[in-house]
Amino acid sequence: MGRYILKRLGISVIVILLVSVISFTLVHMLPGDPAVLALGSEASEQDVEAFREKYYLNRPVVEQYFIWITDAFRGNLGDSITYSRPVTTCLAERLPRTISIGLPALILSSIFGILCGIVSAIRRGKFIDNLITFLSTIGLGAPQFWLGIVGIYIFGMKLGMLPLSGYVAPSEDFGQYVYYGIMPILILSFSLLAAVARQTRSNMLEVINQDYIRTARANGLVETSVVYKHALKNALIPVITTIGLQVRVVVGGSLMVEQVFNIAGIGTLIVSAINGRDYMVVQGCVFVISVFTVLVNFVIDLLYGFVDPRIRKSWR
Amino acid sequence: MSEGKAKKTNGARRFFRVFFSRGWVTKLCFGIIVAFVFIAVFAPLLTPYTPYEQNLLSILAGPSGEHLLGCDNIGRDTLTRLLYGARVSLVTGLLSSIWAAAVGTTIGLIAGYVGGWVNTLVMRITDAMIAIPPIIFTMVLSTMVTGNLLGISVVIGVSIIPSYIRMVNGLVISLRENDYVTAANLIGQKQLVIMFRHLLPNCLASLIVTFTMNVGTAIMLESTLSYLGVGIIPPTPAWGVMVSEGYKYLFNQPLVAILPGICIMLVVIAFNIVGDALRDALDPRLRGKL
Repeated sequence: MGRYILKRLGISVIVILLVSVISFTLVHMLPGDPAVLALGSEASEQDVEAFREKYYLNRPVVEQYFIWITDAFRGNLGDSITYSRPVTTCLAERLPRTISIGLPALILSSIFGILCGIVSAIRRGKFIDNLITFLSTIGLGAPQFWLGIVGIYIFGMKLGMLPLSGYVAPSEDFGQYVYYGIMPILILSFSLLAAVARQTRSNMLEVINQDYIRTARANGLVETSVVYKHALKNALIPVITTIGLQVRVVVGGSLMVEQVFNIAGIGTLIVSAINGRDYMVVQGCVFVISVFTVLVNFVIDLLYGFVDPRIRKSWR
Repeated sequence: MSEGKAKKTNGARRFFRVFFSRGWVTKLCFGIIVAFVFIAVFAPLLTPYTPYEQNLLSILAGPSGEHLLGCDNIGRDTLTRLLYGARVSLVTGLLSSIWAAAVGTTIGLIAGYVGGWVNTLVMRITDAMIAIPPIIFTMVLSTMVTGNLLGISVVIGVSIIPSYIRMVNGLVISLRENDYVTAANLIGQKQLVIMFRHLLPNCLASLIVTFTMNVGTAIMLESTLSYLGVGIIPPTPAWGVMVSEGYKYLFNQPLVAILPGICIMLVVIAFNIVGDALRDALDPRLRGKL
């Protein structure tokens, strides 16, 4: 087992290094000279030179990469060009907001997605199954930014129940946080829920046709025990992967939701950094987000072994 | 798609029977795709206006006999812009999926067949690309090509290449163990011939399904980029652009922002469901794998 974990960890480290190369290259392909963009076209030659020196822009690209990556592993992602502050500070400021929207959405969608999937599978072909399938099809097909706008129109403008945009931190005032946060959270969880529900439904249906379920039924077990003890346990294993993959969707989704509801989180930080050609911020954000995704997938690989003894056996 | 053609071979007949046996939903979605392509091709014939024509007397007008779905903030006909928007979506959706399929399949095929460290390297790079959220990946890249339809398609294509590499690679690794590959090797077939003449046709069913679904994904990505202002830029009538422009006038005329979203949703859902139906019709064994 130790060897398996080491091997997975090794692969994760390689992927993280590749991610760093890709995010670095990606950002250096951005058009425009960051020095000119930051200082304006009127800036003197010396100022531009000093700026280039400060951000190592006058060094060869490969050297720039190595300076950046060695600093990154020491926890220093460089300084933001527009905010003239460390990128890590910018991230630390914005991160709690993104988490306070993304995490509840992830939890809500996982719980209700699994529930919907089970109900859908048990009542296959009935009204409730059709309803859930219909809603999850919409959840997967509707653009998140549009769902946000529709939500604002119906609940904000027409019914006047919820605010149009804005954000209050849960630590400041929890009631206000829920009041402002409920719509972004629900909209984000809607698209996530759809994927989880679909996956759970198809796994449940597959498992229910297995021999051991028939045996359990033939032995006279109560239907609820068959469904929740025997079928669900086996159906949930692949759902873990889906939830793991959702982490990526949460990141992309919070970008949209933050943009629509005007929340100053990581998403809006990236959008404004891309538009302002803030190399260091874009590079740092892409890197941090991707490393996070890789690590989540690593943990999920391990989780697999803990929930499924068959996989644990193959580790040896 | 005529009846006669379907009767020609048993396989084709089975294909159409299974494809359309999934009830009215699949038929409806197939209809949506046909209508979508038709509208995209014949947009200018379907409306008396052009998407850029402004009529200052009907700014933010509601639906009327003259403007069936009303007008936007500078008096452009919403229906006309929706019809022309289908063109942008169709072109980006198809172009990006085609070029991603070509590149992704080739890389996946070669890496899977050659195997060894080449395959490991390719797969790790693919993993790394997948770790970066596609929307952020395309946003950064799209700043280089802002507004350019062809450029945006290329950028979106890059972000969906990994899905083809993964799929083809997995297939080829299991396919190359087959006896017919060994046989082809023994009679001295060239490696390239084995890859493209023997292995590729066996990946075709999965490729068609992935392609169909990716067209939907690409249309969604394009509209998202356009909404964020880094994809297709105004005044080109792209659905994402329309939502973002209409958002500012949501209170006065909600139709401008809401209708394009419905179009995006219908088209994306249609491609997903038709992809599902294709999978069942082409190869029932693929169920649950794609």
